[in-house]
Amino acid sequence: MIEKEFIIENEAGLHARSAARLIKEANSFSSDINIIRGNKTGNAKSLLSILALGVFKGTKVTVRIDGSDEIAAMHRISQLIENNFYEED
Amino acid sequence: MGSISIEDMIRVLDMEVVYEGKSLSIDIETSDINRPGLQFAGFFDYFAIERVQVIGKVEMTYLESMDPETRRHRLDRFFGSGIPCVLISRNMEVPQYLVDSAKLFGCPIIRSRKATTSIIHRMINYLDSALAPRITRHGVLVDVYGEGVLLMGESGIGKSETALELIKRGHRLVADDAVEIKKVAENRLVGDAPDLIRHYMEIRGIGIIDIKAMYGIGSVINNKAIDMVIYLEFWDSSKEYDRLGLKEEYMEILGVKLPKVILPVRPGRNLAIIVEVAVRNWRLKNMGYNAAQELDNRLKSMIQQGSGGEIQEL
Repeated sequence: MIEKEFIIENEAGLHARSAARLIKEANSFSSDINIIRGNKTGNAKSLLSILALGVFKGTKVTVRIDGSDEIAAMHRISQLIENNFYEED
Repeated sequence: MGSISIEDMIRVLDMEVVYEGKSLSIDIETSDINRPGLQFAGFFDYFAIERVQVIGKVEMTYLESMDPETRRHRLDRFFGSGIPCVLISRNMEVPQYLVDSAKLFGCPIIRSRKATTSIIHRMINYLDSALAPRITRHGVLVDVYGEGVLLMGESGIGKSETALELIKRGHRLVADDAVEIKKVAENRLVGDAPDLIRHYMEIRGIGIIDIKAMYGIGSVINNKAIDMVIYLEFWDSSKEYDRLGLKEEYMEILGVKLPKVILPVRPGRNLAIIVEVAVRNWRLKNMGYNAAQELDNRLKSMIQQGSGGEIQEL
C-alpha cells in the first residue's frame, strides 16, 4: 500500500469533469484507489463517491493505492493531479 | 467515538448562550449527562466531569437555598473541575453568582427554553447520533420490501444497474456509490447518502441521473437501517456457491455482524429479481421459516419412515 498527499490546485477543484478524468485513469488499474479528505474516503473508481468528497481548490487530499499495479497507478494519478487534470484555463 | 463542538449542539438544539466562556468550540465526547445536585451538596467523588452538566429547577432551587459562602466555594470547585459546559433548562434566570464562578474558569453557560427532562432526552438523542462511529463504504443502499439492503461488489459489477431495476420494481434508493454508515446502537447501523450526491446515480453510458426527478418521491428515502449485505461478484467457476442455503455468512461493519449473501453474476441472471428473492427468503428465515431446513427435515423423516418399514409406493 502506498500513500501520497496532494493539494488540489485547479480553480474549480474536483468538479464533475476533472473527477471524470480521475476515475477514467483509476479504472485502468486493478489496484484499490481511494481518495481521502479529512475523515471521508472516496473510491477513485466511482464518480459519485469522488464528487461526494467536495474537494475544492486548496483542499488537501491523500491518495491511497493498494494492489499489484500501485506504483504505476500512483505515477499516473500524481501526474494528473499535478497537471491540474489537464484543464485549460 | 467522535466528538462534537458545543457550538454545533447549540445551533441544532436551538439553545441560547448566556456566557460564552473561553471558547464554544470545546468538544463534547460523551452523550451522557450529569445533574450536579450531589456536587452542589458537597459530594465530589465519582463526579463525571466530561459530561454536560444540566441544572434544572431542583438544582437551581437548592443553590438559592444555600448560604452564599458555601455556595461560592462549591461552585468554584464545580466549575474548576474541567466540565465542558453548563446547561440551564426551562429558560430560568441565571443568577449572577453562577456566572461569576463560571467566569473564573471560562466555562460556557448555555440555556434552553425546554423543560429539563425534555431537553435531556433531545440532547442525548442528538449526541448519540452525532457521536456515533461512522464509516463510508462503497456500495448501493436500497430499501427492498422495507429491509435495508447494502449491495456491494467491485466497481463495474452492476450494482447501480441492479438498484435501478429494483427502483423500477417499486423499491427505494437510499444512496448510490458512497454510503455513509453510522452505528446508532449496539447492533444497529443506519446508512445515508452524502448530502452532495443524495438521490443521484451513475449509470455507465448515460452518466449521472437524478432518481427523485426521474422516478418520483416514492422512489427514494433519506436513510435506512441496514439489515443485510448482498455481495455481487463475477461468477468464478472454481468456486463452490451455496446451493442449499443452510449455512449463513456474515460481514462485519463497525463491529456489527450483518447477514451476507454472495450472488455470482453471470449474463442472463436477472439480479434484481434474485435480490428480491434473497430478501424475501431472509425475511422468511427471520420469521422462523427456513426453506432449506424444512426440506431437509422432510427428507429426513421420509428416510426414517423408509428404513423402519417398507417404502410406500403410490
